[in-house]
Amino acid sequence: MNEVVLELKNVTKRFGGLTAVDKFSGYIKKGELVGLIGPNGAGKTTLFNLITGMYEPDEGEMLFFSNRLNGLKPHQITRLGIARTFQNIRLFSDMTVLENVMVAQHCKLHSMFSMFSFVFKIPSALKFERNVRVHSEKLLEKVGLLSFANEKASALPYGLQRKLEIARALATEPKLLLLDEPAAGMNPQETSELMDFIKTIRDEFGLSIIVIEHDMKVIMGICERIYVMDYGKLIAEGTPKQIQSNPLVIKAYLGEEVLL
Amino acid sequence: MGMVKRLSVKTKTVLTILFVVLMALLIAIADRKASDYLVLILNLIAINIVFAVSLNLINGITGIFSLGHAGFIAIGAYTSVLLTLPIEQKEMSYLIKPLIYPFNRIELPFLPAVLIAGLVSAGFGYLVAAPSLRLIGDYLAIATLGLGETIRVIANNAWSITNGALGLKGIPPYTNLYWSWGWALITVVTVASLVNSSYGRALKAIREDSIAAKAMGINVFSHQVMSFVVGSFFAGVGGALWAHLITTIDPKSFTFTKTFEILIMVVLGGLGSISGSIIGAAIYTVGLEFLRVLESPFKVWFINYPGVPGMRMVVLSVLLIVLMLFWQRGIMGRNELSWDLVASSFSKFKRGGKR
Ligand SMILES: Nc1ncnc2c1ncn2[C@@H]1O[C@H](COP(=O)(O)OP(=O)(O)O)[C@@H](O)[C@H]1O
Ligand SMILES: [Mg+2]
Repeated sequence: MNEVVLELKNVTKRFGGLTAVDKFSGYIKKGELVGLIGPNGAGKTTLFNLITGMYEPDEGEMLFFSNRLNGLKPHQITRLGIARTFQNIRLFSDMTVLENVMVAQHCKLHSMFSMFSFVFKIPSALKFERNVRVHSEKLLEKVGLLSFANEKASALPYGLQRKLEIARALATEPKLLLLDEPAAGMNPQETSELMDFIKTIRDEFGLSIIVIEHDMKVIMGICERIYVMDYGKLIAEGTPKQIQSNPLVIKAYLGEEVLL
Repeated sequence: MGMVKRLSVKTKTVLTILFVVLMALLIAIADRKASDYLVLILNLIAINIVFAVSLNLINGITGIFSLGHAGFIAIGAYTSVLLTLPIEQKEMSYLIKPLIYPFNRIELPFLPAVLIAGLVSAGFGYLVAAPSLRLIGDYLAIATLGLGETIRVIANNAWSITNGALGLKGIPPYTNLYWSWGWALITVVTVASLVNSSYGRALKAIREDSIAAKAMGINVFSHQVMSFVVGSFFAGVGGALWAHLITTIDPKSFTFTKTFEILIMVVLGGLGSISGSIIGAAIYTVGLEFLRVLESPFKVWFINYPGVPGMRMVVLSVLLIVLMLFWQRGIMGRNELSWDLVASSFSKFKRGGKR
């Protein structure tokens, strides 16, 4: 149970003169739900972009189980078992809800040449298609989106789009799920439902999850551990209780009257 | 789409088979009875379907903006002609510089020549797409545009292969309605099967949001290259069919205008819709024939219209610009014609009639 899933050692990313992530070290264990918080511009999204291979770190090392993530392409990292959502929803908006989930299973095909088996509709390809469809429908049912299966993704209400993005990430069969501000733009009611939902999928799929959240209160209730970033640096780490009373954290958030 | 009537898979299969048989019958009748002019138009429609559907796979489905289709058509045309042109004809044609070995000894039947033309074109497609997609990604349009022109310039100057500006004449007129419509069917079925498979979903995902596609584990680069290579294959096949229809080719046959024409068909039918490309190709081909009147003199009341050569291209260019500005979705948008759609509009029509 206590196996480390992801470990970051002194990970650094600079954009010109700006150090967006500054020697970040941290880890997440199997089945853990970890929060990543910090004021706007703290470097949280950049950290996700580093883990998922969208950016290459300037320094440091990232280990996923025994695999070094440095230098891997985003699609390779997804195939290893890390999936993510985006702060600004990035659905395939002109595709249906079902197709959005189905396409996330395309990565199970490993060779470009299997394309021919799909063009010529040989039985193994048809079986793959059937399995993907069945699996996707099951997944949609689990997250409560099955009745929208044939709607365009862009036609969903905002909150459901967020949910669909999570379902799509789950379809890649990840071991680690990275959620970037999943509650952004939601009202308190929707937010608390979403947090319950996140907890449920963690239990049901046996996932490790890192949730980025701007508003600290939102994740206090569900996370076992929290990392706090400010100006690219890790300024605190601990249980929600420890974080709430940490003077450095209070100071970082003082500029923003929103919290605490 | 809630109103769309759903037919069973069996009904649809039967309808599709019936449709193909009916088309085959019509083609057989046209082959025997129709005038040469009508046969030519029907051949051109089929070949333009091959061109439009293949370009649509690249531009509409995958969302990489290629402007190099004419280049791949040229490669297919020249490759096939080098393989099928009778040896004596080759000896007569290459006056400035003799044709290089082994082409001067080869005389192949049509089918292998078309297949090889497609494969060579696909190979060039790979050579173009791989480095340019890796290096410049979104600026592929410029690279492919440059490439299409480069191929033409090479064709103009590689005398010992292409016979330069003199071009090639006396190409055996192998292309008939069976070949052209047979290949049109193969193109449509292949591209449609691809698009409706897991690979097609991946291509559309790349078009919608390539960053999200990467995050879903899709190798964006290799899928874009694949799409480009498949598109180039059929551009090459279409080029081969075209060359053996018009029986004379020279570098001027493959200018940017050719790409532009195909782009009009695709946009007119709807970027991203295969049935749209078929419709676009048919309308464009027929429309171009009707606009022929603009190129010969005529008199409207007391105004003498002198007839301007090339006028129909001007009209069509204006049409494309208007299309792109005011009706970007084209006839079909991204939708496909399906039996479901036909059935539901038919029943709607019937209901409307009764009332
Ligand atoms: N691609 C980029 N180029 C330049 N600067 C960037 C880029 N991405 C992020 N940044 C900068 O890095 C800092 C951290 O951004 P980000 O990780 O998005 O913060 P957060 O998600 O914590 O709000 C910000 O100052 C942002 O402007
Ligand atoms: Mg962010």
